[in-house]
Amino acid sequence: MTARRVVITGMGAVTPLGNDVSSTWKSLIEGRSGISKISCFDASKFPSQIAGEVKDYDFSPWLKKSQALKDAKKNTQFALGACQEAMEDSGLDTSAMDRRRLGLYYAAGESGAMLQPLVRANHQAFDGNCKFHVEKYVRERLSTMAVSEEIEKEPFSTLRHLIETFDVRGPA
Amino acid sequence: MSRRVVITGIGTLNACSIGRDNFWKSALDRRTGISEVKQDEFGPIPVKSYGRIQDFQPSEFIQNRKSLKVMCRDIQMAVVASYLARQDSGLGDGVADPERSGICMGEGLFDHDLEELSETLRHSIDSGEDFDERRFGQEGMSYLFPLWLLKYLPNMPACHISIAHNLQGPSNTLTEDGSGSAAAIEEATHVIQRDMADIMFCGGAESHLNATGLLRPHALGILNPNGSSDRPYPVFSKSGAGLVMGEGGAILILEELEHARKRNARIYAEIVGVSSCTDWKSKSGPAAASESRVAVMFDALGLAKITPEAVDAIHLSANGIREEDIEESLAIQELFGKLTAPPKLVRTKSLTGYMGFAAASTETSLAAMSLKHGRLVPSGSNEDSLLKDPFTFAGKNTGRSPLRYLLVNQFTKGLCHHSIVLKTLGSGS
Repeated sequence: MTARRVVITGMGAVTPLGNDVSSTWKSLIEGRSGISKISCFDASKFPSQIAGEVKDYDFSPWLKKSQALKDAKKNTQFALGACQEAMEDSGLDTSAMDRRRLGLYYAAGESGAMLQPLVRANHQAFDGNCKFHVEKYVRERLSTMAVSEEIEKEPFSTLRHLIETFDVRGPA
Repeated sequence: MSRRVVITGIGTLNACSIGRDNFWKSALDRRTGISEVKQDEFGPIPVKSYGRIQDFQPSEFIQNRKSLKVMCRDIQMAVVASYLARQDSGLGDGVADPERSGICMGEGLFDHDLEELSETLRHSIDSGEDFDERRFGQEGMSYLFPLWLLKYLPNMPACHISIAHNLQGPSNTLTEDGSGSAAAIEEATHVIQRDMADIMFCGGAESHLNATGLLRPHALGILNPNGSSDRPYPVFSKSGAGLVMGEGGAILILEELEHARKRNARIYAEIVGVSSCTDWKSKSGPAAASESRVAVMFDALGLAKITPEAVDAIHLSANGIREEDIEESLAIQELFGKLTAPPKLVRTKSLTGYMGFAAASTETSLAAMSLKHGRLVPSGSNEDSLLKDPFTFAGKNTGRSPLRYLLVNQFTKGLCHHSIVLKTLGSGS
């Protein structure tokens, strides 16, 4: 059996250099750096204060389409944008194909820890003698937990949104 | 000619036992390892029972104390499972060709030890009770030991296992929630079939035996709040009331057939079909649930070049969440319901509790042992089954003889489904 050959037919990107492939490429060719001082939180007391941040990425059009994305973290937001651009770039008419032959392989990361709920729960749960009171921890966590937001920190949550948004039915 | 993939090693640890031998005996005797939790162990979370591994001593297997310190309980279980699998496979001296030996694991986020984080959090708080980024950067971070994060990352089981057994070939970790170890088995199979490796360790491990780990399933309303010593965890049952969680790990060693034969390895079974798809729905109503589940089972049978009649038994994905178990029952009814003698049904989660990342690899381990020993895992009374006659659960001595094909399902709602077909490697193969 002849091995099947694989080609690239579509690309999408959301990067610190630009929020699509052409602006990212333009920045690269012009020798611009996407590294800058961190602006998305107060890193003024951190040992390192620079990072490659995505700039001015507007996720609001997605939220108008689907409330299911309201708790999506930045990694999911970027993945959706990049995937949308790649699909359009490829010219693939998915309505005309067997969607079981449309698969997805996504390199997942985490969205970052939500420290605020942990800080509050820790404050409640540990007494002056550093003894941990599990019932206080659980009560505090449950009183502030939005479970849909909690699930979004899992690496698989981006996969779930991509599958649903692009109606992927093959292996994923 | 395509390369054939067989299972030559099994390493399991769970509430029933550490080691697959006693696990198999527990399964045949239908002896659950689920036990009652201590009162208020998890505060107000209404959990009565859990599949806890009693007296887990990872240092019996993992000699390097420095390594142990940077492994959370889940990772320790994964590494112990890998040592058990290696012992079982006859690879006692290690793999012969490290560059042709690899690993694929199904994992996810592990729960942080709260006491370990306590000083960090205490020094990251403002004058109220809110998180203070500046204080975290200036003080809180310094209370974390430098390798803290490595203790909890999803890819660290594969890291430690590849170091422990000198696996220099392909390495990957798949984060697919409960489908993770099924996805790992699928990918490991394909890696060997594509001639990128001859041996692949694959599987998963997890432990949510703590308040943080149980918070989310409790908030989602999917934990079984009941629990009695008679029926601690009904699955695929009209009285299914949710999950009883369990901890542990299961690792299989997959090997190319000729490679296994050359070293006279004991072969449990051959993987002859493995398929996956997303949990898609294009229809509505009851038919929607079965659509993707039927497709994945049908495709796995097609890859195995068999029809539904050939399947001796189905190892159910069933986890006790009634809605999900019903969805599986509808799919099985659709694909196998016209047969006068459909496959036997096997349900095993009530032995160990639902083990999340380790669920599929544990289920596949039992299916492989069933084929090796020629016996199905007895699965209880048909009275409470979600499927009626002619579907029946495997009894103590029922099922066709000899067993040839078993189908193992792992369905994860909202995400991905997997089906794996195992075959006995008979004398004519």
